[in-house]
Amino acid sequence: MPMNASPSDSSSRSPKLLEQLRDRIRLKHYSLRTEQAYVQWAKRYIIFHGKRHPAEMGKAEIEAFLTSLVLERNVTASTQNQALSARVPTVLTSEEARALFKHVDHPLMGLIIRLLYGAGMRLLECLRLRVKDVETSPDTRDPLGEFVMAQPPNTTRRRMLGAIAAAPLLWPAMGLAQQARPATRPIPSSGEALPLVGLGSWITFNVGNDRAARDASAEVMRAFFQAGGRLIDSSPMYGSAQEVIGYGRQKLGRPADLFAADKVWISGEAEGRAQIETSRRLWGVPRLDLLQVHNLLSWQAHLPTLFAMKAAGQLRYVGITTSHGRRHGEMEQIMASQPIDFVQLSYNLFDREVEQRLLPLALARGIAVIVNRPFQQGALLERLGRRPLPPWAAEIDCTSWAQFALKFVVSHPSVTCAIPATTSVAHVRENLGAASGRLPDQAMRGRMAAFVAGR
Amino acid sequence: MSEWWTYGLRDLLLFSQRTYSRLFELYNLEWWPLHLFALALGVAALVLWRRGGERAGRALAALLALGWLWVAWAFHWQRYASINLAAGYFRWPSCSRLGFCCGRGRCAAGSRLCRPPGCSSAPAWDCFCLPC
Repeated sequence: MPMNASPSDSSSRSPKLLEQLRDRIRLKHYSLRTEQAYVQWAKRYIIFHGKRHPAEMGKAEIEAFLTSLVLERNVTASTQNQALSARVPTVLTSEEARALFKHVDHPLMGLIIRLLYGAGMRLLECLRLRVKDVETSPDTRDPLGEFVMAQPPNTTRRRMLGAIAAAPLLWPAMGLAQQARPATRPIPSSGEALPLVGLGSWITFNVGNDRAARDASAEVMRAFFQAGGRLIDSSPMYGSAQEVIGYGRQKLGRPADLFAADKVWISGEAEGRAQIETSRRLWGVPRLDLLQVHNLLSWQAHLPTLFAMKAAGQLRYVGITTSHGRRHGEMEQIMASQPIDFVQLSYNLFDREVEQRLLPLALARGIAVIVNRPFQQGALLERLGRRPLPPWAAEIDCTSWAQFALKFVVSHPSVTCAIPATTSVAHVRENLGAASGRLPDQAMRGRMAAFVAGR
Repeated sequence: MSEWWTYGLRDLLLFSQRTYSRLFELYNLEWWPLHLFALALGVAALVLWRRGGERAGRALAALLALGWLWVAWAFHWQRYASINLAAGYFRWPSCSRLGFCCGRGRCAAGSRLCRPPGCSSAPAWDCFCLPC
C-alpha cells in the first residue's frame, strides 16, 4: 500500500497519514472513488493491527489482514485484490470476456462494459467520458476484438479509448447513446433476436450507377445500423439495389450486425443457383443470411437447393415471399408442408387479410414473418397524413403516422420484422424509433384499426 | 404468373422519378458539349429532308441510323439498363429502327423517292439522340 510516513504515535498521527495518502492519490490523478476506497482500506488495515503505523508493518501483517477478510468477513478474491492494491482485477479469460460481451444485448451497456474492461476505467470515469477525451489517430483503429483481448502493455487509456471508439463495430453503439435500442423478437427456428424494424430496398436502392445517389443510400444504411437495425432485404428483381447495398456495406466498413436477406427470382434450379451466387457477390458477403423464393416463382425447384445450402452451412435461413396479398393459398400450403424458417408477406393497417390464416399459421408452425409494404409503398401514409395523429397515439410512444403504422404491424405476435423502404436518413431513424417504446396491446390495436377505418 | 393483370402501374415501378431524371442529368453532364454536334446533325437532317433526292435520302437514313445506334448504346445499354432490367432489351428495338432506316434509305435511293416515308417524321429528334 502506498504509505510512506515515518513511524511515530499512530493514534495521533493517523489523520496526518491519511492526509498524506490523499495528497499522494490526488497527485496521481486517481478518481475520487479510488481515493475514498484507498483511504477506507488504509483505515481498516491500521485499525486491524491495533493502530500500528503501516511503516512498522510488512508482508506478514498484510497477509494476516487479507486472511482475516476471507475467514471472518467472507469477502471475495477481487475485494482482496482491491484491498491489496486497488488494481483492476484479472478474473476473466479472453474467451470468458468474449462470451460476456456477446450476451450484452444493449449496445450502450455493451460499450460501457467494453470500456471498463478494455481500458481499465472506473465506472464514473466511463460515464463522464466526452468526445474530447477520445484520441482517434489512424494507428489506433484496430478491430475491437483484437484490441480488447490483446492490449499492449504501454498503451494509455486515451489511446485505448481511441481504439475502441474508432472500431467500426462500435460506431453504431456510440450513435445509440442518444436513442433507445429497437426491440427484438426471436426467429422461432433459431432463437436469434432480430430488431422489429428492418430496411427494404425496393425502388429506393435502385439508383443505378449514380455515385451521389449511392452515397446517399450508404448514409441511409449508416443511420439504419446506428439506430440498431440489422435486416436489409433485397432481390435480383430490384435492379441495382443489391449492388448499391454492397457498395454501402463496403463503404461502412462491412458492419458485422448486417442480416442479409435476399431472394431467388428466376425459373429453373440451375439458373437459381447461378442467380444466388451473383446476388451474394453483389452484396459482397461470404454468405447470405436468408434466401427467399421471390413470389413463389419456381419454388419447387428452388426450395431443395436452399435447404441443401442451409445444411451445408452456406445459408442460415430459408423462406418464401409474396406481396400485394397474392397467392396466399399456395403460400399456406408451403408453410404447412415445408420446413421453412421465414415467410414474407404484405401486411398493414388496411391490408389485413393475412391475420385470418397466414399469421396464425406462422405462429403455430414456428415460422418467422417479415412484413413488406407496411406503408403500401407510401400510399397508406398519404392517406393517413390527411388527418392529425390522434392524441392517444402518445400512449404507445408514436410521434408520426409512420410509427403508428409500423407499431401496428410489428405488435402482431406473429410478426418478426417489418421492412419499410426509404431514401431518407430521418425516415430510417423514425422507422427504427417505432421499434422502441411501448407497443400497442390487443385493445389498442383494435382502436388503431378502427380509427384509420374511420369508425 | 396469372395474376400480372391485377397489378397497378404503380406496383410495377422499379425506380423513382428522381432516379430516372438523374439518368438524363448525368447523361447530359457526361456528354456535354456533344449536344452542339448533335444539334448540327439535326439541322443537317432537316436540310437533307428538304432537299430530297437519292443521295440526300441515303445520307438522311445514315444519320438516323447513327442516331438510333447511339440511343441503343449510350442510353439504354450504358445507363437505363442499370435501373431497369428490361432496358437491356430496349436496345434491340433501337437497333431495329436503325436497320429500318437503312432499309428505307436504300429503298428511297432505288425508287428515287424524294422523302423516304419511314424517315420523314421527326428526323431531328432521332439524330439528337435523346431517348425521351
